[in-house]
Amino acid sequence: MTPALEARGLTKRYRTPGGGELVAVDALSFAVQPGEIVGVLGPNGAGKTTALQLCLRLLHPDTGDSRLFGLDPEDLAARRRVGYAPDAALFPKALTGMRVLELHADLLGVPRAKAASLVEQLGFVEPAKRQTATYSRGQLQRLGLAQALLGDPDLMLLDEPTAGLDPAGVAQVRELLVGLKARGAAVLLNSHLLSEVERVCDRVLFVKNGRCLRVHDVRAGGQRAEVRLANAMQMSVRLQEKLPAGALDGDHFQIAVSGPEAVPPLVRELVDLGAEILEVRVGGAELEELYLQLVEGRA
Amino acid sequence: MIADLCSWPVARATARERGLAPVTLGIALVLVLIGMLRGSADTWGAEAFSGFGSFWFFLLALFLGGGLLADEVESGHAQLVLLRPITRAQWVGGRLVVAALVLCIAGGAGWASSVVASFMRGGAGELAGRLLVLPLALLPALGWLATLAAIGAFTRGWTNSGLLVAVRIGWALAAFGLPLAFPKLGLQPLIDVIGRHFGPQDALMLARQVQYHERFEPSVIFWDLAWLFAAWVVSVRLFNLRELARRRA
Repeated sequence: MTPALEARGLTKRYRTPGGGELVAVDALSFAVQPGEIVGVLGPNGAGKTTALQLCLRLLHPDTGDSRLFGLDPEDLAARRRVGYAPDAALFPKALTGMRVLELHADLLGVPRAKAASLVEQLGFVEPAKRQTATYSRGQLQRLGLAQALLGDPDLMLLDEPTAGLDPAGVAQVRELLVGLKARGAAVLLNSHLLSEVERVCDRVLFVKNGRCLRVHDVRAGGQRAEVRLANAMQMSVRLQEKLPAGALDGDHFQIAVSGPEAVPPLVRELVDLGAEILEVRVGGAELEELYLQLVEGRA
Repeated sequence: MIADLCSWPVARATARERGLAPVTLGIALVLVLIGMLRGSADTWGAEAFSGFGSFWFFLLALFLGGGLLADEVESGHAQLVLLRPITRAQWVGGRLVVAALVLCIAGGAGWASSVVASFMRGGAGELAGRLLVLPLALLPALGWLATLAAIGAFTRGWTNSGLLVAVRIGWALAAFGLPLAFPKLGLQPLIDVIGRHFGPQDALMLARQVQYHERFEPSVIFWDLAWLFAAWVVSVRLFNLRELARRRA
């Protein structure tokens, strides 16, 4: 199946005022399949937004490439199927919310009535009549979501969609994500709200300093097996081939499992591959714990 | 064909943003007043584009072209618009065409008021010359507008207008001052040649050629048309290279 979004080795560097170089995104690779919600977690400045913008070719990567439905991101057929809700207010201040939505409806070739129905659906009828200059952060966020949803996108990229929203708005975004997934759309979600990410995402990318530290499978029940190997070096290529979902960190091989019952078959498979196992641990991988462990470096 | 060069939804939004701006309406009113006050029995409709009028007309071009592309990129809205199924060429075309239309409408209003004032004050005849004034006055202004778009494809904010003003003033000073400062170098012929190719050229004298049955020299029209389309193409090519998102702090 062609991924809705595929990033291959995306790298973006910036020159700093002191003449140095800042690597905002470093060889980032991942894919989002149709019907999947993938979260991106990382501290401020980790490169999450830059990664999204690189995927959409709003920024030009120094190296690497991205594909939307197997097509170049600049391909108009690909763009017709994409919705993007950025994290900051990006609307002309002199236009009303409804005018903005009508412009985007015209650009997409969808009836303007669709804009009106979305406004109603998102509880945005009164502010839509006002100029966007008068909007609060939450109202801008809702307008951003509405314009992203206008074309019934098959791929949705959301950058901090719940920032500035009230609890009802957060719940609405959650419902919206579930609705998108139910109709087979793919979603890439940048968020700081770990609880929300854990509730709606199928997989989570942990990003720090522009690099993907780990891909965590939330559907695996949030547990992982950690296997200490005596011959980790010799095993690395075989593990990468046979168990690509896992990651080798020093002499520790970590892989998401559905629960403790999945560990004995895993051990058997590892032994069959030639692994010399020193220790096996199964632990709950609450997202927050994982986040602190991976991103903040806490034990 | 036209839809490949210009996005109409973008054009409509630009018309609301630039065409109905108080500054645009204000300068258009000034052009109408200039035409009305300066139009007399022996004038032929160029009053809104010559002398004091030329300053206001160029100011309108500067306002319409200032930040024409950069404003949308810097506000971030271009990110969202250009994620829609339109090309960058269509987006640039949509914005430039509307700025050009607004300039034509405002210039047309100034010309019409001048012609009406002339007829009301007893002016008559010379219809061909009067009719020619409008396109001949608009042509170089449209060339400057396209130049602003080309500069604005890679500069920030209203830097394009500032740069254009600085270059034009710099050139005027150089063209006037250098032959005086260095008379022995015989720079005047060289400056004349450069001047004939320095941006779009004033084509209004062609109307006079028609009016007074002089020899008609249309080369300026071809030069201005070539400049206009070259600047448009350059603006699209340069804008294709521009990143739409900004580096975050």
